[in-house]
Amino acid sequence: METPKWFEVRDLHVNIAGKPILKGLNLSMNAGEIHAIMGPNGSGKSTLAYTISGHPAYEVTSGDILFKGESILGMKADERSRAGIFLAFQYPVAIPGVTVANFLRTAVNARIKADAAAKNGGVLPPSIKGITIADFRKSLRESMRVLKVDDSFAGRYLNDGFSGGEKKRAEILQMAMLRPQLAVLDETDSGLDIDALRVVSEGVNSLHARDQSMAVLVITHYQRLLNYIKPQFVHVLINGQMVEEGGPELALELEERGYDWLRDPESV
Amino acid sequence: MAIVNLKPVPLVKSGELTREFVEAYSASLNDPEWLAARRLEALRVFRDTPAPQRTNELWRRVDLSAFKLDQVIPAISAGVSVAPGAFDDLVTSLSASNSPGWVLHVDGGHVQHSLAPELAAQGVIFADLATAAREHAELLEKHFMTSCVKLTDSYFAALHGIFARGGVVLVVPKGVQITAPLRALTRMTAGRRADFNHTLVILEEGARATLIEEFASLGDLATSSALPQSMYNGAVEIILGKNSQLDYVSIQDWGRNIYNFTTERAHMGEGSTLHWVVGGMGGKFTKTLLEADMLGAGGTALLSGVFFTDGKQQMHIDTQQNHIAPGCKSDLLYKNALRDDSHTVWRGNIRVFPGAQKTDGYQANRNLQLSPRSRADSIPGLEIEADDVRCTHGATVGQIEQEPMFYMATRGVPEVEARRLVVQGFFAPVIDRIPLEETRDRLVEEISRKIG
Repeated sequence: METPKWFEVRDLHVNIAGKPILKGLNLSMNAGEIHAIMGPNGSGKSTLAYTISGHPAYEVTSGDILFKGESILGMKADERSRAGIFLAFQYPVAIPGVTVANFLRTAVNARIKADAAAKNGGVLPPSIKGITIADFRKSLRESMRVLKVDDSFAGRYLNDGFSGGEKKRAEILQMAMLRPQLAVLDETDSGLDIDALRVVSEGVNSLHARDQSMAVLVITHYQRLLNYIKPQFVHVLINGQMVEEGGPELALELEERGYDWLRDPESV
Repeated sequence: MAIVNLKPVPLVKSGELTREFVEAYSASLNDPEWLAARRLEALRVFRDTPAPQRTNELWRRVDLSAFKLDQVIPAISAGVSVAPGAFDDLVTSLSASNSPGWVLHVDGGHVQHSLAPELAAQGVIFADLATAAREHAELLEKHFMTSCVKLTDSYFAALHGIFARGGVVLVVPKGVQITAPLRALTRMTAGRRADFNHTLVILEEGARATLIEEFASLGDLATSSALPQSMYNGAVEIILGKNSQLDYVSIQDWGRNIYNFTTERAHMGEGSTLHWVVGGMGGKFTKTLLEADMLGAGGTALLSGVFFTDGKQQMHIDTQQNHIAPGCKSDLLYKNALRDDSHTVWRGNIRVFPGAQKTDGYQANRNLQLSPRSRADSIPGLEIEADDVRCTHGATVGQIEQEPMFYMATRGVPEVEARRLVVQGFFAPVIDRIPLEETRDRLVEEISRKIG
């Protein structure tokens, strides 16, 4: 039997408020691969990211999304996350009054408890209390060091009053703590200056080096980010469909020539 | 005065609340003469004060038809039977808490108190009402319900004046600064009780203190609403001298059989600072009148509140920020979360008196509705009689938003946990203002329990 793909999107059609946005999108990734999706504004890049993550407003009308051979369409967003899918948001959402540390400990514990319950026929064994505060702090401090964030970060309310750079670092910090097997980075470079971009990219690269089977899907408008996070494959998304696929050189070509040469003449 | 053996009789049963009854009550408590006289004065005022009517704006939104004053019994010597050692565990935990002073009050009566000898040596008074009334008669006679909370304030204030008992009196002399929190614990263990706990805090010039009061029901009372109703009728008087600073925290977590009426007022002297945090979690019904009177120039009142209602709980809070002297700052932030069919009413008013120039007044009431059947009434008000002032207010009623919930879901946080985080986060900025970790933790735990 053929080994299933690590991650696969098959002929995906997605509507938002009844309007078709993705119109038969295909994508296939192996473990450990880094893919980039590029495309102009409004092509459906963020829709793909949200649909993979399970946003309830994005309606899949046909097609499928498979993670390690299993369809995830029946899973809610939190279940997809615990199964190993992570979305770094283009616009991270503030959670007022909830500190970075408190939030992450809740998220880490949710994973530990769900895993323990799954191994016990769906019932959480009472002995499972989650990560100890000491272990959690140690792990959080290590991740914060990699991402060059100050210790005080842990005590701040998540994304509340964060600068653009801090928000993106917080996204990657969460990724580091949650150890996904598929990371979708939605316009992670937007709003970052070159120094912040470098730190965030180095963070992603070091996580990829740590968890080598983790697949990374980089969604970006610009080629700039791909100088730091180097994809093996580049896909071009226009009007809800993949129109071109190539290696890293495709990104450079897009930078040079723009997207117009790839547009379906009927849709221009 | 001889101790009279008083039969426990229901309060205000027709004709029972007589002068003779009040005299006998006084005698049973071994009141000094001045206090006995004040109780009789309170009785006179009470008889002249009509019971709350819905025609009165203050009581317009309040339905008290189910409340039966004649079914509750004030704690009297013969009426409270506290078995020796019954509260040893509370005493032990208070003793172990490193607090320099604590008071324990159960079922409407004083149980025990303690004050570090070094504070007593500096002239700090920390005791229950009866002890303070005897040992510091002159001071108490001057201040007890004379100028801060007055007998004439309301029906419930007058009733409180008749039966006030136990509670806590804290007096900090000039320049004495107490850094660790003093604590007062009040517990209710039985139905049909009436508790008239009195809090009197006097900080002299330059003094500083922190007082944390916690009110709760024990045992079955904490969870059952089927028990016979009880009444808590408390008064809080805070008198702050020049440049003094008080951190005052009061957390109420009564059982669902309790009607909770409180009258709370601070008189603030020149340059004084008051950080006042109130928490309301329990009770069947609450009506609180809370007021900060800035009588001296340059005072600061930071007023914070957390309220979380569920079931059919009702919570009515009236706040008043009175800028009487110039150059004072007041900042009120009250937050309510509501579940099920609960109902909260916040009526807040900032009043700037003529001449109170350079006033900086702010009030905000934020409501988080967790159920579409709950109801939050938020009624801010400004009355400004000076021209050089800055006064603003804000009131909001909102629900849990979808985007933060989705964001948290993408981190694997289940919906129920995400809701818990949103509610805890909603309250966190206020809870962070509580200066004692143990109290913060207990409140967070109670909030978490209420989210379910």
